[in-house]
Parts: sequence; C-alpha cells; structure tokens
Amino acid sequence: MKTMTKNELWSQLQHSALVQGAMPEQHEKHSPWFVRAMLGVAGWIGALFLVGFVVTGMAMGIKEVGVYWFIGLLACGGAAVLFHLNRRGDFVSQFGLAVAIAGQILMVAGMSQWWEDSSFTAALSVVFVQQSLLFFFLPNYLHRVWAAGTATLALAFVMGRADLYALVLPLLTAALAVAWLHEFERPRQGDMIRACGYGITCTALLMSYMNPGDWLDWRTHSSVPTDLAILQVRRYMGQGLIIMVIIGAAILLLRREMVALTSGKGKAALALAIVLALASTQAPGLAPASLMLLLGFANGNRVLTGLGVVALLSYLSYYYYALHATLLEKSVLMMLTGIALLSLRFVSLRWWPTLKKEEPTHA
Amino acid sequence: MANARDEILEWAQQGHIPPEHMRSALEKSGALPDESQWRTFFDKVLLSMGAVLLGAGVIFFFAYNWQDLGRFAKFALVQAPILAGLAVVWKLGIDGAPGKAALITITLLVGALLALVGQTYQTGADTFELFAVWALAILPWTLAARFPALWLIWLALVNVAIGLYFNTTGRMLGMAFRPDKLMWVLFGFNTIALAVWEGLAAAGVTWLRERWAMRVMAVASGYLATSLAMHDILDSPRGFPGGLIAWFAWMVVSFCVYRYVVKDLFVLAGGLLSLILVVVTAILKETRFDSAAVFLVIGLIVIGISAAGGWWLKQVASEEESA
Repeated sequence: MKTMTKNELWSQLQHSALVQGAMPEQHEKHSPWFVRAMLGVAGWIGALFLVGFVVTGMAMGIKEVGVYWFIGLLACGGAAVLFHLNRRGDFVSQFGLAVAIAGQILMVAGMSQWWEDSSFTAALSVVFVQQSLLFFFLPNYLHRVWAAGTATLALAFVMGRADLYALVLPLLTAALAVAWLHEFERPRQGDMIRACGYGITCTALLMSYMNPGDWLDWRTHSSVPTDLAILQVRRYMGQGLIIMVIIGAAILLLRREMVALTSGKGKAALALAIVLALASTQAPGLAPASLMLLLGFANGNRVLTGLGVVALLSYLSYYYYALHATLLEKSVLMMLTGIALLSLRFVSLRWWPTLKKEEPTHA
Repeated sequence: MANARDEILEWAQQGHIPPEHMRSALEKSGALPDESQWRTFFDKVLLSMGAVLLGAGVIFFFAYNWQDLGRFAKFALVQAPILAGLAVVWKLGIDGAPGKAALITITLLVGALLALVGQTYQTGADTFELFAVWALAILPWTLAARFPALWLIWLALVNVAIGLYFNTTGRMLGMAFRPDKLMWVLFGFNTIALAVWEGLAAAGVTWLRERWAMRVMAVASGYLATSLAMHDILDSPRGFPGGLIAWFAWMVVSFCVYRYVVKDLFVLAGGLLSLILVVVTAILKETRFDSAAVFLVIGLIVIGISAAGGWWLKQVASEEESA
C-alpha cells in the first residue's frame, strides 16, 4: 500500500464508490509531523524575541503593565487576520504563529497585575477562556495544538488549586480518549479535532509527572485547607475514574471495530484494559501513555503511536524517582503488572489464536 | 506517496469523501490495521511491556536494598529470571518476538545483578564501571540477536558510562576537567556509531534498516554537534573554534547524505533547527541589546529561516512523493 500513488489511491476509492469525480487538486503540500514540530519550536523562539521587542520598546514610556494585555490582544487579532487572509503562505503562517504566541504571552503578562491581587485562580481561568477562544478563532493547525494544550494546562492548574488534583489526569486521559476515538466522525473539522487531540495529549503527558506533593506549591494558600478525609475520597474518585476511562475506552474501541465483548478478541482486549487500569491506579502516567499507544494504532496514526511508546519509556524512567511510593512498592507493582501481561499473552493465544505464522519482528 | 491516511483525511476535509464513507475509505486503503495487524500489535504490546516492566521491577527492587532478604535469596531472585529468560530464548529462538522480549528483560536484569554484586561485596567500583561492565556483558547477545532496540540500549549504556567516567575523573582531577571534553567524546562516539549503522544498512544488512533507530542516533549526534558550536560561541570566543568547525562539517555531511543518498527529511528538519539555534546564539553573543529593534530583527530572522526551511522541506517531501 505504501507504494501506491495518489492517483491509484483515488482510482481504488472511486472503484469502490467511496469518492466521485476527478481527483481534486492539492492545495497544500503535506508537511510531515517533524517539520511541523520544527516550525512550532522555531515559532516559539521567534515569539520570545517579538515579546522582547515589545517589552523593550515600551519599557521607557509605559509603566502600566495592563497595556501589555491590550497590545497582546491586538497581536492576536492581527494573527487572526493573517491566518484568514493567507492560510498557505509559509512565511505568513510562521510570522502569524510567532505573533499569536507573542500576543498571548503579552496578554498573560498584562494580567499579572491580577495575580498580585491574590486571584491567581481567576487569572488561570481567564487564560483557559482566552486560549479556548483563540483555538476557534485563529485557524492555524500549529497554533491550535498550542492553544488546546495551554487551555487544558490552565484548567488543570485551576483544578489543582482547588485541591481537585486527583481528578486532573483521569479527566485529561478521558478527554484525549474522546478526541482520538472520534477523530473520523467529523471529517470537515478533522484538523481541528486532531489539533485538539494533540494539545490535550501533550498536557496529559506533562501532568503525568505531577505527584500529589507537587500540587501543594500551586494550591490556594488563602483558603481553608481541605480536610484530609475529603482529599482521600477524591484520590479514590480519581482512581475509580481512571479505571472507568481505560476500560470504557477499550469497550468503545471494541464497539467501533465491531468486535463482540464476549468474543475471544474482546475478552483478550478487556483483560489487557483491566490490567493496565489497575496498574494505572498506582502509576497514573501509564493511563494516557497506553491509551495513546492503543488509539494511535487503532487510527493508523503512527505519530501518536510513537509518542505513546516514548511516553511509556519516559514515564518508567521518571517513576523510579517519583516520591509517592517506596521503591519496594513500585517494584512489586511493576513485577506484578509485567507477570500479568506476560501471562495474558500466554492465555490470549487460546482466546485469540494467531492468524498466520508469526514473522520475525524487529520491534 | 507519502501516506494514504493523510491523503484520505485531506480529501474528506475538502468534502470529497462523505463522512459515512470515511472509515471504509481508510480501511480500503490499508490505512487502518486489519485483524492480522491487530493480533501482531496485541502480541507485541503484551510481550514488550511485560518484559520491560518485569525487568525494571527487579531493578527497582534491588535499588530499594531490602535488608530483610539474605544475600543468597537476593542473588536467586535476580539470577532465576535470567536463567528463565535464557531458557525462553533457547526454546523459542532469538528471531521471534518472545525471544527478543526475553533478551530485553535479561539485559535489564544483568544490570540489576551487577549492581547487586557491588552492593553485597562492596567492590569499591565506580558507577561508570558498572555501566561499562554491563555494556560488555550484554555484548555477546547484542551481536547475535540482530535486534536494533538492543543495540540502542547498548549504545545508551556506553554513553552513560562515558558521561559518568568524565564526571568521576573530573571531580578527582579538579580543574583539569573541561565539560566540552565530554561533549567531544560523546559526539565522536555517537557520530561514528551513526556512520557505521548507516554504512552497514546501505551495504545490505537489512535488519539494521530501521529508520527510527538511525534517527535516534542522528538526534544524539546532531544535539552534541549543536551544543559544541554553541559552547564555542558563548564560552571560548578567542580559542580555536573546533566546535563550530565540527558543527559546520556535521551540517554539510548530513545535508549531502540525507538529502541525496539516504533521503531522510527528519534529519534535515533537525539540521534546520540546529541552524536556527546556532545563528540565534551567534547574534545574541554579538548584540548588546541596546534597542528594541535588535529583538525584532532576531525574531524576524528566526521566522524567516524557519519559514524558508519549512517551504524547502515541503518541496523535498513532494519531490520524494512523486519519485
């Protein structure tokens, strides 16, 4: 299939009555993911210098920090106009991206006066709303990944400050599962859904590295500390939610693939989901990483699958240093999970026999 | 063609494929996995995750240094799974997925065993010696297994051993240690490893033709070349610019190899990012930041290089698609 040309692919789909008419002209050449990633990083570096330009230029004349917010808003408006007028120009897109990110940094800097007034949570909520709106109004793929990621990041910290941190990663994992499970349902909005999916996925990965203790630095100090019993209940709720999310995602995926839950494959997949869900209650970063791996493969998305593998290995390295459990507890969890997965492999050969003789693999 | 999935998603977004036909189109084109691919994936996930978690779990256990367990029990605990893994490899062969998964587990367990020896008998060995001996111990089956992931683990172990060696000797020799010396050694080692790997793959060693593994090495080599150039610009402006020359040579050779011989856009994109970083570092070093215009100019240079680079990479990608 990899050697099939574009024309041949179109003919094949036409023959199956899945498309009609002549093959459309290609408006824009495809950029592989790593080119997009390079452009995103470069856009960010460029944005930092644009921020430096504005801040240095205004430092002498204007003392009111709030003015930055207004300039940032104008920059975002300008970027929106650039993206709408010229969606395909490389320089314009890159310039628009840098201007938009610089604008957002200035808007956040402008809001810093609110933070001094002790309402950091309110500022984070405004950042969430701001980034959500910019996600819809600035039609640029890289910008949308950035906006979705930063919006969910702001929301995560709002929840963390309200001592709801136990629910952050389960909810983000649920959101990433919803985005990738529905990737193909609205093809017209496909780019938007994928940008949202990648943004949420990045935030979920970041949040995988937050221990309960790390959240203490972010919580609201002015309010009355939440009762320890309530925090414990929330922790159980988070663990319950993460189990529901992984098993629920597996069931939805099986339904999407039209596999009966009682069939051999269904049982094997559910057993894998149960093992991963139980392990994730103690090692929460396993949940988003394993769902990325699973849903990436299911959707034929090699970038997401690869990201899932990297996320699993990175989390494993981090897990050694995570302080929420002793090395003994962590080692027991890992050995039990490893043994469970290897046993499941043995059992699953009976439930779901291999279809053909296995080829040598380089995985 | 680049990717059937990308083409179909774009056609669907343009409205040429109705939503109700989207899945059928993806299935028809082979963009989505069929049952056989699902079965293989399921098997690989269980084997690789199971093997890695089991091996890592044993390492974590010995890192905990549980005093209640006697030394013989500890040795039995780490040696028994090594023997079991070897039995799996012997029984099922080294070429299949179970054999390779077992090799990964054994590789991790050998590290745990060496750490346990050091912990139990207080050998006085430095940490870099542990990693060096670990790399040496797994070399026989790394050579025999024809398994790229295992070679990457071996290369990572050697990198860690070199890094720890320089840290240890640096502390012992005090001022004699220069951090860029370590970067030079690592750069040389990873670049030679990449060149050998690419050379063998080009010479017909098919199992080495895993682009992802070569990309990992190219990232390591390119990162070190970029760091050397930035170090030269920032820290030793009057000395011999060896780092800058090495970086320039790396850029030219990489461009020629990955543009015309191997054709790997990933490395070219990485080279562009490296160029941006080095140019920005050089401008930052020479600029006094006395006016806002400097920031604007640097920002525009970054945007200009990246936009031009992105456009060029797209052209190269489309050339390869139509080739």
